[in-house]
Amino acid sequence: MRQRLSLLLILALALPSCAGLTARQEALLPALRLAWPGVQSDITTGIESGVENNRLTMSAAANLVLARDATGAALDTGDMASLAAVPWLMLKDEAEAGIKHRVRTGEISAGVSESLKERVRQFTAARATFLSSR
Amino acid sequence: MDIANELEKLLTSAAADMGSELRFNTTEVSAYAAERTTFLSTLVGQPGFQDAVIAERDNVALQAGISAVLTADAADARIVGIIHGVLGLGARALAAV
Repeated sequence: MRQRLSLLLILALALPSCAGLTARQEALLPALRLAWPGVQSDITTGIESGVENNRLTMSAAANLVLARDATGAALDTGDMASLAAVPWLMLKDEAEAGIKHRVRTGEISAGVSESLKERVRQFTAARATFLSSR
Repeated sequence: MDIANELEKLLTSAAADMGSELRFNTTEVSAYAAERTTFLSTLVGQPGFQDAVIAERDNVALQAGISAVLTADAADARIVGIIHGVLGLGARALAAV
């Protein structure tokens, strides 16, 4: 009886993590993957324009490119540890810089930039939620 | 009362329940989608409008994903609370035997 209860206790402790983990893998991760190409593009524009106007050194740009690619790889595999290891805030800054650059050059309007900036905000929140533990 | 049987029934029911809990808050996400659609309608004809359409699609998907996780986490926390309560009752019942 006691042994049976112990086994049930172990099961009870393991079971509750299922719904949260499932939601992360089957709902949030696909959304992150869907949004990534657009966010990645903004990051790339930020890095390239940063090098052009001397805001970034070549070395800093190279590190940012590595971080960007590491994020993409982590999203492909769904590896939480790899995703957590990437310094997201630096990439977020570059995404925002890239959006600003596109407004400056007239490629997008200020209004359109608000949609892109909202996506960076949502992506940031989604990444944090994906990596959060209960 | 057979505590083990009661716990088994509870866990079986909780597991079945979890399937129906894996949803997002439809009211919240629908409201957000409506807000973004309204905003998008103001951008028609502006440079980069197609990029905005894609971005707003992504925004709603991300919001729905976040909502699904928060809903699932809340369901998990509720189940943990129920199980701990029943285990506590079970432990006291066993100690009294």
